Amino acid sequence: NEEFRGGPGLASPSPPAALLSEPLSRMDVLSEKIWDYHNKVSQTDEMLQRKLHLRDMLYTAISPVFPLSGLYVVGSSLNGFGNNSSDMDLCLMITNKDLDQKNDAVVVLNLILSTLQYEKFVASQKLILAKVPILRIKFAAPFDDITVDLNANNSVAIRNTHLLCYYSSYDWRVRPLVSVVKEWAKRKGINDANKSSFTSYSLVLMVIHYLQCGTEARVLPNLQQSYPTRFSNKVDVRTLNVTMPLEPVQDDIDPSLSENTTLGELLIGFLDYYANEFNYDRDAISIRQGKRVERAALAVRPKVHLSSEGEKEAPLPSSSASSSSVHNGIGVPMHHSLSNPHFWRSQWRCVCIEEPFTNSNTAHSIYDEMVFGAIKEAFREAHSELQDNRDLDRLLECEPIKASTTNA
Amino acid sequence: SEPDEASSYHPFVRSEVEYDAATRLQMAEEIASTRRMFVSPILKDIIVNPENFYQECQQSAKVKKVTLKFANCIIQMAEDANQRRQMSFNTKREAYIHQM
Repeated sequence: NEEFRGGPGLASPSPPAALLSEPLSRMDVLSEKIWDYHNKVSQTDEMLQRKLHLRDMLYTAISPVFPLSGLYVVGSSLNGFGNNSSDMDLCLMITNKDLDQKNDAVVVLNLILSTLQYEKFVASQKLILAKVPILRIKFAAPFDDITVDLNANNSVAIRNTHLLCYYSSYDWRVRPLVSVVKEWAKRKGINDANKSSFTSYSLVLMVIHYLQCGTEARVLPNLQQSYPTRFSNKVDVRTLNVTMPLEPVQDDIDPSLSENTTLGELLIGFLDYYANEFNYDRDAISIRQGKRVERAALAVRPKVHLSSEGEKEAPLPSSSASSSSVHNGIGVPMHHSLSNPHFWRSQWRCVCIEEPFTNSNTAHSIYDEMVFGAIKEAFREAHSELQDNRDLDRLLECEPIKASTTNA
Repeated sequence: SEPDEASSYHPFVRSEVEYDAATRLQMAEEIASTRRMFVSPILKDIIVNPENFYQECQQSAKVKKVTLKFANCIIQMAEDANQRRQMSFNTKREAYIHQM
């Protein structure tokens, strides 16, 4: 495999020829099963085309009211980690400034809601008021299997979609690993932010973190460090293009070393890392820094996020997958400091995963000690199960965790 | 109403029907007031003087007409995904053949 590893973000690499060119496939049974499972569930090109077509239809309906706006596909539909049952997240861009999400974004989404109600292809709409308000749209056949979540100007979603796209295509093992981890978490009942557990976005960041620093030989580099201008949060989101290849740079990834670890071993290692090695009380995950950091340092470190306009006053857009808060230079959340002085502390309570652009905690929904305990137990169980039997089907035949939550 | 900078833009992305700036602002104000909200000065400026945020780097493959500025960064998303499928399929098939 002579090609440079960080190719265009959308192109999915396949296993190196060396794994397949020998008389017998060198893929072990567990790795083959993971690869197979991934190919069975991952988003097909037909599904992507239907989603893009639907996006274009929505744009045609919205553009008379918001001329020149941009309707961007974000999240799993485009970041390489989507499967065929994923919804489509869309971001309507209308300004380079931070759009106030309490009032202005709600007005924008209401205006769109009233526009779309006359479209025959739209079946139903619901405005969901959260920190980042969402217009949830369902469609008439033949698009009745796709749900769209539309936000107004939450541009960080475009940035992290772009970043994740390049991580997902950096090494052929990243996507299949994420596919299986997501499915395991879903069946285990710990992939549901509404039930005080992980969002898919957090799970992806956990896998990337493990591949950055949890394995013997690193599998993934720190892209934000290697390509500071490309993945900066000052880049104009209009220029982000997931089909532009990354130019090769020196990093500390040795493909000949990292490829010695099989896909199956990486899955076992991932479960081992979060069951036995990661110290939840002390450690926080930082993709941006490419390493484990002390959670205390993450939560108090002064952070000043400058928007592209350099306005510190405006509320910041939050991540697509989590309705997170961002804090200002003195460690107090900007739009929660008044309403809830404990919010900032509590968002860093159980599991700490730093959002690579806003520096907030993507796992802030895990605040329930009972659920947190059950999550840790789930990792330990899954690890010993897979280590003993190396059987993917048995791993996925698991029972959901039994912890009840206070906000379920 | 005042001249709308938007109407001079690229014809492909323009819908056939498009409200002028005054109508758009009025629509927003009606929507806001029925919900006890308001059109802030910032939002008013966005509505009246829209800036180009078109998803030029995220186009569907069927889009053929593009501005020169972005011509070499068009995503051929569908083609690309198709290639990806084919690659996975071939890999799988080879693995199978090698096992026989």
